[in-house]
Amino acid sequence: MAKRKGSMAQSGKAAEKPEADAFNDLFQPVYKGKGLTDEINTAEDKWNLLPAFLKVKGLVKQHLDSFNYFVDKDLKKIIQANQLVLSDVDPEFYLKYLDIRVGHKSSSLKRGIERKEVLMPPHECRLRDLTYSAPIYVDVEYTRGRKIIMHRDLEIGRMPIMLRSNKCILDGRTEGEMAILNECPLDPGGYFIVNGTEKVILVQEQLSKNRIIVEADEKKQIVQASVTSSTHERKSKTYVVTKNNRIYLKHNSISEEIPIVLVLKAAGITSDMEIMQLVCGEDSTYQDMFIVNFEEAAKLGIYTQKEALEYIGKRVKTVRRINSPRLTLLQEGIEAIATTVIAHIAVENLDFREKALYIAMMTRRVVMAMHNPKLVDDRDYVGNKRLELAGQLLALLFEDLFKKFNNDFKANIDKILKKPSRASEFDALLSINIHSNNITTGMNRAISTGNWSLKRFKMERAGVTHVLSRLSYISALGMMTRISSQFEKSRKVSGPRALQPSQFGMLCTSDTPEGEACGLVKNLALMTHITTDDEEDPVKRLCYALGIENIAIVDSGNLHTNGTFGVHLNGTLIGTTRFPIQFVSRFRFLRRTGKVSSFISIFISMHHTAVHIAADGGRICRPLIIVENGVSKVNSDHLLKLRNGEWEFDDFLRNGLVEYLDVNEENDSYIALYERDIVKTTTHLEIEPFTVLGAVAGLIPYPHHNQSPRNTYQCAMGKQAIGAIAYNQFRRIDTLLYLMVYPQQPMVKTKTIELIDYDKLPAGQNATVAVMSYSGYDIEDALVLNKASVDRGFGRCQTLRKNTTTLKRYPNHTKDIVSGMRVDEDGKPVFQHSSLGPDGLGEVGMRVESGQVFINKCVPTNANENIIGGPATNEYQSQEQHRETPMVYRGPEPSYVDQVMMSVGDNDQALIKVLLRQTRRPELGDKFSSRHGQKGVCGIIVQQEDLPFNDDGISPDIIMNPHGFPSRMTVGKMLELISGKAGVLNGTLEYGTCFGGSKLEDMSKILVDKGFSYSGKDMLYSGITGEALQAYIFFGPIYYQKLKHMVLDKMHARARGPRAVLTRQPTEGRSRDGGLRLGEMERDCVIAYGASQLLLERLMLSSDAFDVDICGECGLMGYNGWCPSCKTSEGIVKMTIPYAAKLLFQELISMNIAPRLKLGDVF
Amino acid sequence: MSLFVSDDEIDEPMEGVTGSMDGGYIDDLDDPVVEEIPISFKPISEAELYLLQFPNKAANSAYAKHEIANISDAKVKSQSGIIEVEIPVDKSRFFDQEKSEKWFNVEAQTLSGVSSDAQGYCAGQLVNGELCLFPLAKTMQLRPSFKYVDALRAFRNESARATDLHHGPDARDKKKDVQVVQMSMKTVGDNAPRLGGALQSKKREEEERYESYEFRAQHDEASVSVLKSLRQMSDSELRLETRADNLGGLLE
Repeated sequence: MAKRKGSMAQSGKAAEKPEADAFNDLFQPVYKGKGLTDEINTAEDKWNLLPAFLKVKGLVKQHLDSFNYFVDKDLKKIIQANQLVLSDVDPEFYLKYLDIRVGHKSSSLKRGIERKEVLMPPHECRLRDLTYSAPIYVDVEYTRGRKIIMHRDLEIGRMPIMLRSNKCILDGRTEGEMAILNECPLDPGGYFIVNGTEKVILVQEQLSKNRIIVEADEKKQIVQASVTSSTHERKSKTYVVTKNNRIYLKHNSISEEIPIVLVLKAAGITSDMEIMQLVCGEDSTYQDMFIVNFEEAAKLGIYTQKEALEYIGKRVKTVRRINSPRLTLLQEGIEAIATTVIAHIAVENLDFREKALYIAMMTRRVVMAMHNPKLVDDRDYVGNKRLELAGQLLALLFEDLFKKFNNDFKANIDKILKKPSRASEFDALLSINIHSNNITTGMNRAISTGNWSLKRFKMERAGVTHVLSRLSYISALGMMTRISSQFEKSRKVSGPRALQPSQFGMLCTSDTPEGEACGLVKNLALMTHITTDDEEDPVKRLCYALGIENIAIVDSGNLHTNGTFGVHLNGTLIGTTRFPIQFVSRFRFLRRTGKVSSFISIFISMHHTAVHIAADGGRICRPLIIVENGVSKVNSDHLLKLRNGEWEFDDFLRNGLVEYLDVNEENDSYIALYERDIVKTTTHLEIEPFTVLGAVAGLIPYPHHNQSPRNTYQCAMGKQAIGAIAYNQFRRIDTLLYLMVYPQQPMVKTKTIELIDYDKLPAGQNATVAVMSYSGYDIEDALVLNKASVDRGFGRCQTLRKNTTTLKRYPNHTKDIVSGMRVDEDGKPVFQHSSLGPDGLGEVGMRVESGQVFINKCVPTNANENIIGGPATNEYQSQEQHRETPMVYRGPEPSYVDQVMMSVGDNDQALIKVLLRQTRRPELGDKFSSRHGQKGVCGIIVQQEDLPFNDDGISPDIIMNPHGFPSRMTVGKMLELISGKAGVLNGTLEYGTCFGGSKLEDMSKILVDKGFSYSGKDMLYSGITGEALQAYIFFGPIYYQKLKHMVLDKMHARARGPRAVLTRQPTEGRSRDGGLRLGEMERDCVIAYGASQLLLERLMLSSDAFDVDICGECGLMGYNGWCPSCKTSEGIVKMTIPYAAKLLFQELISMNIAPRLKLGDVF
Repeated sequence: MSLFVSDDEIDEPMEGVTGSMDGGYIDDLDDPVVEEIPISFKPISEAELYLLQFPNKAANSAYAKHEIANISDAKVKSQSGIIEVEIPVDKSRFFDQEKSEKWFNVEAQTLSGVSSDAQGYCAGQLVNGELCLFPLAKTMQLRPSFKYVDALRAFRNESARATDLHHGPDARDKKKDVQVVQMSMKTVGDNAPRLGGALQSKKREEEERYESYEFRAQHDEASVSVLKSLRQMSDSELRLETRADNLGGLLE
C-alpha cells in the first residue's frame, strides 16, 4: 500500500486514484437518498464497505497484485536463485547479478522520483501494433582481468507491462490525465498489449501444490495419498498407496512400489516401534491395520537404514547426465529419499526427520482412510484449489528465459576465453548484449500465442492467454474475472463441474458458460482477493514464540497421543501443541492487530487433529466482519468515519474489525448472513450477501426471484450485448467493434451495476414492454418492435471494422506504394475510386459501396527479382512496374470511412489502418434480450399507429408474447417491470439488487399513488380498432439489450459460386460465399419422400457433376473416348458421376485397388 | 524482523479498538497464579549444551534409565553434527550368545543422530526456588543404527564377491575389461555436475573422523560439578527485543 501511495503523490497534488473519480459519488453528501447527517443504520449501511473494498482493490486487483508481486519481489528471488554466471575455462571469472528492476533505473530512485520508462502510452501501442513494455535493468558485478567491476542498469530485455500495474504509467492517474493519454478511466486494466492486441492471461485453477490429498477407490479397494511437490527446480508427484491392504510408496522415478516401512527405515526411522508410533499413535485399530507392513520389510530381510537405502537405490530409474559421477546404490538411495521423493521438503545435513515425518503423516492419512472411508479429501473442494495468476505464470516463463539467457551468455564467454591470445582485455559485458533479444521475444511470443512451454517442468500449455474481448464493457470485465480449469473438457465426470458449496462468496454461482465448458470455467465473486506468497520463516518463528513445540524435539511417541495437535504450515508439520484453540485464537488476534499478514489463514482440523496454517499464494479469500460475543465489531461510528472519508477499507482491516478468510478458515467459522442472525457462537458477519454473485451476474435485477439457469443464460448474453465499451471507444481501431448509438442506464439498477460502473458504460435501452400477443409474428419468443421507436433510435448500433495493410519494402529496394485515384474522361474518379482521396486512401466520412476501393495499394511487379541491373535501371523501372492490389470493400450494405491511420510499425514498414463504419437500425431477425436470459428475435416491425396504447397514449416499444413467462419462471423480469414503472412515475431509479432491492410493496404503493394498478397492468386500446383490449395488459419498462447477432452479418444465399479445388464441391461457409448444404438428415427426408430426381439434382448436378469416359471392357476410367488400359476406343461410355466419386476411384487406384464400374442397361 | 508488519501502521492507536481482546483467547481465570519464582538466565560461553533425546527409550522405564546411565562410549563428528553413543548390552539377562557371535560378538547397541539447532530452547533447573535457564545449542534424537547388521551384510557381500572373482566363470574376462584411459586434457572439477546437497553432506560425513568423548552419567561426580559450575555462572541480563506491543498486547 505504501508504495501505491508514494507513486500517487508524484503524479500531481490533486492526484487521486483513478478509481476514486468513479467511486467518488458513492461518498457524496447525498447518495442513495441518504445525507451525511442522516442516521447510520449499521445493518443497512455496512454494505458501504463493499465500495470501499472495491476502491482499494478494484475489480481486477488479483491480476494487478499478482503482476506487482512478480515484478517487485518474484523477479528478485529469481535473480537470487540464478545469481552467478561462472566460466568453465577461467575459474577466476564470475558475474553476479545484484539487483533487478523493471521500468526504472537505479538512479531514478535516488532522486526520489520514480519515473516509469515505458515504451509509449498504451493506446499508442494499441494503434501502432506495438508491445507495451518496459526495460528490465539488472545491476551486475563481474571480473575484468583482476578488477571487479560493478555495472548498473544493464538492460537485458523488455518486459510486457500489465496495464494499471504499478509499472504502468496509468497507475495513479486522475480521470483528466487518463483522457490526455486517450485511456478510459473505467477500463480496469489487468491485461497486456502485445503487438497491438490486448491479451489477458486467464486465471488458472489447479489442485494445491505441496498438500496431501487422500482419495479412495472403493471398487478397487485402493486408498491413496498423493502430494504434488513443486519447487523452483522440479515438480514431481509422490503417492502412498494401498495394495492388498499393504501400503507402498510410489514415485515416477522409482521403478517399483516400495513398502512404506522400508521407506521410513530409509528415512532414518529404524525401529519398528517408532514407525508404529509415527503412523498409528496409540490407536489399536490403526495398529492392527498397519502391522502387516512390518512383515514386508522382515521378509525382505531389511533392518537397517543402510539396507533400506540400498534397496531403494537399486530401484531408482537414473538419468545420468554426462560427466556426472557414477553413484553407488547407497548414494542413489540417499539421493532418492533426500531430493526425489517429496521434493518440496529439503533435507539438510542428513537430517531426514522432517521428511520421515511427512511420509509417516501421509501413511497415517492412508491408514485413517482405510479405517474410515469418509476421511478422504474432496478434490473439488475450493479449499484444495489454488489459482495461478499472470504473475506466477510470467515468473515461470521469465526464470526459464533467464536461465537460457545465462547459459547462452556463459557459452559465449567460454568461447572467447578459450582463445589463447586475446588482443584486448576481456570484458564480459560485450558479449552479454548479443542475446538480449531472447527474453523480450520469448515473453512476447508466449503472451501473444498463449503457448507456455517450459522444459524444466515439462510444461506444455496452450491457450493460456486470450484476446481481451471488447464486445462490450461487461465482456471485457467478465474476462478479467474468469477462471479456467486445467480439467479436460472431454472427460465425463460431474464432480469438477458441479456447484461446490464451498464456492459461496468466492466464485460466482451463476456465471458459467453452457455446454462443454460448463462448470469448468468459473468467475470470481465480487468481493474476493487472491493471495500472493507470504514468507514462511517469520510465521514459523511466530508459531514457536506462541508456544508451539518444535517438531525437531517432539517425541515420536507423543505425536499422536490424545490431545496433541500437529501444527502444519503450508502442509508441512512444523510442531505440536496441546492447546490448539488457545494457539489459534492468539494467532488470529495477532493477525487482526496487523502483526501478521492478513492473508495468512489458520484453522483447526478435528479430523486431522491438526492446526493448519496457510501462507501460500493462490488462495481465494474474502473479507468478513468480525463478530465477538454476539456483537458485530463494525458499528455506526466506523461507518460514519468511512462515509466522511476518514477511514478506508484498510483501516477496518488494521483495526481488527474486518478480516480475510479463505475457504478453509471459513469452515472453522460461524458466519451470520445478517446482523439479526447473530447468536452467541457467531464469529463473523457477512458484509453483503449479494457478493456471492460476480460482476456479470450482478447486472441482473432481482436475480433471487429467477429460476437459476436464467441467470446463467443472462451471464452469457450480457457479454454479447452491444453498448458503450469505453470512454475512448471512438479513438480505438479494433478489428470489430459494436457500439450502441443511444445507450441508456437501466431504470432498475443494482448496487453491483453502480460499483462496476455499468451505469456509465451501459449496454441496452429501457424499452416500454407490453406483455401481450400481437399478430402471429411473436411466436417462439419473437418480439414485435414499434417502428416509431426504431425511427427514434431504439436499438440503433454501429459496427466498426478495421482493415489493415502494410507497405512492404523489398530486398531489391522496391516498395509498395499507395497510388492516387484513376479518373475517367470527365476528370471524375471512376466508380471504384470515388471514395478515395488524392493520397489513395479513403477519405474520412466518404461512403464506400461494395466494389469500391478504400486503399489503393500497389506492389512492384518485380518485387521478387534480384538486383541485377543496378540502381539506375531500377529507378527507371520503378515508374512503371507497379501492379494495383487495392483493398476493395465487399458487403451487402455500404460503409463509411470512419478513421484512417498511417504509422510506422515495429519493422519500419508503413502501417495503414482504415476503420469502416456502418450504422444499423434494428431489422427483422435481429436478436434482443432482457436481463433475465430471455432472448428473442425481432419478428415484425409495426407502425406505431397500429400498436395498442394506454390512457396516456403511450404505445409500447416492444411487445413480448406472454408465453415466455410460464415455462421460464423469470419472476425477476416482472418485478423489474413493476419497479421500473414505479421509477418512471416517481422520477427515481429503483434497485433490484440481489437479496435486497426495492420492495414490491413499496413499488405497488407508488403505482397506486400515481393512479395505476398495483399489479402493473394497464388498460390498453387496440391501435387498429380503437377498442379497449379484453384484458389488462402487463405494461412497463424493461431494460433490453441488443445482442451482437444481426441479420446483416448472417444473411447468405447463393445460386452459383466458388468451389473447392480438390473436390469441386461448393465451398462451405458464408465468408467463402459457400453453398447451403443438403445434409444427411435432409437427404433422408428426400429419400423417404421418394423424390429421387431432386436427390440427384441436389447431390450431384448442383454440386460436383463430372463427365467421365468409362471403358465398358475394363470398367476403368479413360479420357477423350480412349481407354488407356485397354488401348482401345471401343465400348467407351460417357456418363456423369460426382467429382468426389471420380476422386475416390483415382485414390483407390493409387493404392493398388482397381474399382471397376460394370455398366448395364437401365431399360 | 520481517515477522512483523512495519511499525508505521500501528503508531496511532485507534480508540475503542485496541485493548479489547475479550474472548480473543482463553482467559487464565481458572488458573490463578500460585507462586512467583525468580528466573535467572545463564548464557554459556565456553561450552555448548546439547539436548540428547532417546525416542525409543521410554522416559518412565527404569531399564531405559539404567541403559542411558551406562553409556560406554560417545563419538562425535562435529562438522556433520553427528553423535554416536554405545550402550553395552546386559549379558547377564536374556542374552543370546549365539546370535551375538553371528554378528561378530556384538556387545553394545549403537545409537546415533544428527543435531539440529535448538532454536531458542533452554534447559532449566529449579534450584532453591530459583529457575536457572541454560540456553541449548543443539538438539538431537538418537536412534538405534544396527551397525552390526550392516557389518555382517558387508562382510557377506565382500566374501561373495571374492569367491566370484576367483572361481566365477567370467572372472578373467572381467579383469580384462579394465582399460586405462589416457586423458589428454586437464579435467576441470567444475565441469562435472557436482553431488547434490544430501550426497555432499553424506560424503562430508564419511570423510570426517569421529572424535571420542567421555560419557558421564547424570549423577556422576563430574557431571554434577559441571552443572554446579554452570549454575554459579553470573546471570546475564536478558534484554527483550520483543516489546509488549510487538505482539499486540498479547504478553501483557
